[in-house]
Amino acid sequence: MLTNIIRLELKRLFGKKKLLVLGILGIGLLITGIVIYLDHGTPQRTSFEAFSFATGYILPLALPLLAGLSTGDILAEDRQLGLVPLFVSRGVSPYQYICGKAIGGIVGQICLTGGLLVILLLITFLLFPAGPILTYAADFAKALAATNPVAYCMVLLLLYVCAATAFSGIALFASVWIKNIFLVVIIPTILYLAAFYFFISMSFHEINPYSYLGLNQLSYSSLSFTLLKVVGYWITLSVTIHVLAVIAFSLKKDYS
Amino acid sequence: MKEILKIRSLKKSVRRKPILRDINLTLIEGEILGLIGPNGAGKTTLLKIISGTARATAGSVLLTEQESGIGILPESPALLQGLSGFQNLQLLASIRRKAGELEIKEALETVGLDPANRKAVGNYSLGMKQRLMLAQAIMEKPKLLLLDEPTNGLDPLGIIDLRQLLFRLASQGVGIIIASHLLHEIELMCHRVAIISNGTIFREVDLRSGEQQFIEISVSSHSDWNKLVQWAGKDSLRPLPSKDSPRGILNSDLPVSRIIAELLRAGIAIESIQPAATNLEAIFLECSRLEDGVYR
Repeated sequence: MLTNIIRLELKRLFGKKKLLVLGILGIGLLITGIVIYLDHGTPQRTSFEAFSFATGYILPLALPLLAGLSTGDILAEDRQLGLVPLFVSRGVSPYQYICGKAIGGIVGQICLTGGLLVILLLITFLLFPAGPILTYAADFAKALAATNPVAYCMVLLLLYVCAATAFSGIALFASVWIKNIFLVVIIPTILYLAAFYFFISMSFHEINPYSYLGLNQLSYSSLSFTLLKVVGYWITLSVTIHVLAVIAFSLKKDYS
Repeated sequence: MKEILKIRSLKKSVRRKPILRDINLTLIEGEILGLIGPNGAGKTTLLKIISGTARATAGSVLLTEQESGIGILPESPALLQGLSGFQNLQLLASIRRKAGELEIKEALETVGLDPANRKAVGNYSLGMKQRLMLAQAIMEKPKLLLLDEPTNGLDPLGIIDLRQLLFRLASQGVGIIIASHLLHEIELMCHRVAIISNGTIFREVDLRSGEQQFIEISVSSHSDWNKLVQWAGKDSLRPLPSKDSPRGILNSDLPVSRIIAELLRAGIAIESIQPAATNLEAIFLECSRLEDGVYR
């Protein structure tokens, strides 16, 4: 039954035109990042550096909204339309239902965010030669970016995909209680910005989500950041929030 | 007849406020049970608990035909507006993979919709949406159907079609529970009626039983009315509001001819006597009345 639910979720998700619109919007934003990159000085313009710059410039601000808009509403939409009882009456347990939603959201983000970044990388290959990332890389990973830019870009790709799933998970968690689709899709952005300003004002970068997303933007020379820690932060957040959403929904007394 | 649903000592409270208190109900195959009650009586909550959408605080709901699933028709249509009717059903059918393309087409035709209609559901009228919801409820051939206000948005022809469909399904052994405010429709559709008031089943009325009948009587004067009350007993006579002659509903198992003979013998001047057309309405009003005489 769970397999059927996941398949159904993915079919519904990829059948939506909104995903195509968001994909085009995402590509447009990332290409803007490449245009901005051209205005910035660097000893050597390379495709990998363009990728690192564009993602680091655009995604720390756009990713929460893109993730919320693309898969954040998968539960809220069903709840608002009153579809949940139709699933439950067909023998789908609330646990199976919410697991299907969670997995659907994760797979959706892997495909959307991952797909966007792969397309961006291909675009940068058309515009610039391959080569090291000399300037626009995270301070704590400059050596890796210069010597092995492919590995660095792959880590970036993994990082943004994990972050996108975490934002989607936050929206899923919120939809356990909130039916309003608009509110649910902007909640990840609101929480992210609120956390950003709160932790910035407290000078508390260690748990500020922006510190783990805007790698090129801030200098963390005083902090013990590593790529593993940055990716681990988003993986932990994503897993935790999805598990909480599954538990919270499964324990509800009324699923409608 | 086999029981398909057994509800025992069911209770549901929300924030310590009791919504359902000690509900006991049984449904046998082929039976159509009507649930009536005032707003907030707990009808929809009961249907939600039976369908698994809400959890009971205590008690049990036993479905003997769990494998065949439950077909539900919620109070308002739950559909994906951008898809066609057929696509909506296809999507729901993919959950259990019990109904194929053939069954979906059959269900759509049964409710009077065209399976070839590719129009998005968002453009459907309320009646068409309701028919589509009915199609999704029956397409997997469940043994239990839960219908919440099934006549919502249906035109008179749609209501007649629905009634015929429900009778046909019942004859095939499907147990059906209908929650509705339309007492007349319930009377026409159901074999048995359970009246829910204040979270409890106040009374069950078997509409197939001919043992008891309700007769509307009006008498000439108040003294005749007092004699009638004396003759019938207070519990068997329910007064009805009247501008002219006093009138009321008599609950009796005697044939009308004998009632007339006995009333004449008792010296009661009868203005009119006829079988009451709205038995259920009278029972419902009685059940809904609070102790201080205010209706819920």
